[in-house]
Amino acid sequence: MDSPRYFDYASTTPVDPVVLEAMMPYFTKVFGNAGSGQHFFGWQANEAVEQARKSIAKYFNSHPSQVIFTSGATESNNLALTGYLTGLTPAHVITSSIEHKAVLEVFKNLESLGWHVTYLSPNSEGIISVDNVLQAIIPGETKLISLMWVNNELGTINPIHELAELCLKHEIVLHSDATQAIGKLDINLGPLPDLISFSGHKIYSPKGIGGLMVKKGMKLHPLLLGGGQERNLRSGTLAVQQIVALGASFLRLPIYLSERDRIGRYQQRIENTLKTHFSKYILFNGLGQARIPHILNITLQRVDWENMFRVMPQIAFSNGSACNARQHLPSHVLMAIGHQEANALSTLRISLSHLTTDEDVDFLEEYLVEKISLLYSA
Amino acid sequence: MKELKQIAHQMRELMSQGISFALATVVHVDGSAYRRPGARMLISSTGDWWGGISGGCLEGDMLKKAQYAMMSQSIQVVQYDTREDDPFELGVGLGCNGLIDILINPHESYLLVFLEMIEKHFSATSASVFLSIISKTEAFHQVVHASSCPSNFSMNDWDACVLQGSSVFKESDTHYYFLERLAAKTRIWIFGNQFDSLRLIDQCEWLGWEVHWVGNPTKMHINDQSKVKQVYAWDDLYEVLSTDHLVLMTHDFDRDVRLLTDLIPRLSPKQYIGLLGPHKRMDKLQTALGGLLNNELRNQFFSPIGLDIGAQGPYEIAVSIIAEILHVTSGREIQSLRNRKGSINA
Repeated sequence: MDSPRYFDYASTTPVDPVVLEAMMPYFTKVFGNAGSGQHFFGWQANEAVEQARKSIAKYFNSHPSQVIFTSGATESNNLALTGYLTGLTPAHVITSSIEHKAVLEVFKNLESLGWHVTYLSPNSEGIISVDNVLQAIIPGETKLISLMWVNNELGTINPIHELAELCLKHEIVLHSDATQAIGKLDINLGPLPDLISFSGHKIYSPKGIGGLMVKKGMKLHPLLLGGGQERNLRSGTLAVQQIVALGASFLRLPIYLSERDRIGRYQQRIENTLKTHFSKYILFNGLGQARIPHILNITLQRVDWENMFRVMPQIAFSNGSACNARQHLPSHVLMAIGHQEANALSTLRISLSHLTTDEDVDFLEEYLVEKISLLYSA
Repeated sequence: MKELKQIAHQMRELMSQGISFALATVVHVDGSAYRRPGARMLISSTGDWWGGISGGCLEGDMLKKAQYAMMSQSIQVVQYDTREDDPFELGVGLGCNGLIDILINPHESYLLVFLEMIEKHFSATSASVFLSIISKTEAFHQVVHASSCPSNFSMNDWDACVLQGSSVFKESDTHYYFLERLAAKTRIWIFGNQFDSLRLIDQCEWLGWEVHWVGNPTKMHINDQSKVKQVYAWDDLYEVLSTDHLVLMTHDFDRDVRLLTDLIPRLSPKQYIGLLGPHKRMDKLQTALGGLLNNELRNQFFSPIGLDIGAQGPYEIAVSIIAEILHVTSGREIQSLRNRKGSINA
């Protein structure tokens, strides 16, 4: 049985060989602890960390001291939200119902601590509008707004630059989970949020590394206490080889971005093919103008979702459901844009990458047509 | 048995279509589980599956694990442990409260040998003991008939397998060993061609029992004949095995006398024989058969036929007859399982 083809790049990506090459010496040759300030080995490691920090800061047009390395976007989101709000008198905060669980669960916890949380609903295209946010702001009360830059299931883009301006005007801190935005759109086309979370393994670095951009002068409370690494914000020996990889990935971002048009053509091709064959049966989610070309989200109406996965073993895709070993829950994002549970479960998320080839897309189109036909003929 | 036959049939089908597949086998169970060791599930690379390893709670996950075994061409032993209340374990909340080990084998070299062995077993009339020797490191496996205790097993293991049908799973650094007994196929003789016999034939076919049907062939519809192993006319000569079950539903007193005159001398002790009709009819039959049917032998006769479950009409009566045969052959007491003390499987 052939190995399936991968169409789940929004879940994770393989490590870029250039990135791998950059990190390899840090496993064996340059193995020092970046915190060992007393000897050569430590200095070497520290230099590598700071070089990576510079590369990342440059990408955000920021100062290296604004880059905090974490274990990934989940930790970055926790650090940004809990780290900023800890110590403040509970007041009002705003987020949306289609955020990642790593944000929603933090807000749930904040509610239990007395914070009043407004969960904004997206429009039918899956986007949170500036007007929507504006209406939710309570002057003097709203302390923070957290909205994801790109939705991980739909690929829809929120108007983060406009919101950054709005927040500046209203003196509200803006946090954005940019995990799915970095490497997929140019985020430097306007003002940036005060806090930006990102992850390495979505941009061809290994798993277990991420970061948080923190606006200069902003005070955060640490979540992990210890040796005080990362400006006292995140204790723990720095994962030098991972950090080197993350820095290398950021240097590669322009290359990944340069492939956007090709990926967009793939997205169009697949959508057109599915529309031609199945317009009566399937729904396209998040199909507005503001979206990245990497993600297609399609609902197969009246199809048993387990059957859907069962008949398509030769392609790797996701349905965005929150699964653990025990249960399969429908995606909260699809429920938020108005789907019923059954439709939310029978949804395919196909995510593409610059690594996707013409041949992959040829195969995918043919395979989807064959298998979806089968599902509707049963 | 029926499930294994279906699996064997599907394996041949898949092979003829050039579709690869894997076989998942329950090899060990501790505590409560819906299926016992020896239960199997066949999974194709196209995502279809036959048979089963649980009551439905594990099949979905097994489908993924089997796909993985096929893609990686590796033997997998998967353990589901639902004995502790761990919310991150599969199966918790379903109340299984047991541990189950499942071996997944995607190697064609094993599947072919296994298929040939079980096909041979299906054509035989007695039970067989098989030993699967599965290599952990190579795609070289064996399935052999075990006629005496294999070297890796104790005499206790062997006795448990041969006498009670309990499978035994062992593991060394290099191999897995699975000793199992495949029960003899269940054979039933149905005498009579009235419409109530057709309902019993349906039930037997559904269970995968091998039916031998005796009656007037001109009154036995071709569609019904296709459901049985063989059709015989009243006067045909036929051999009845000592483990076969016999059910007389002729609705013809004289016919029963003639049949029993022929069958009684061939009857084995403990063999199930059931006759449709009230006590009175059985008394009359005993009288008619004279010395051929003494009181001791009459104890072996189940007439009126069937378990007392309130069955009405041919469909329900067929169920009550089947239930009675299972009760007699298993030696189990008739009661609701909720009243049984101890394990429901032991």
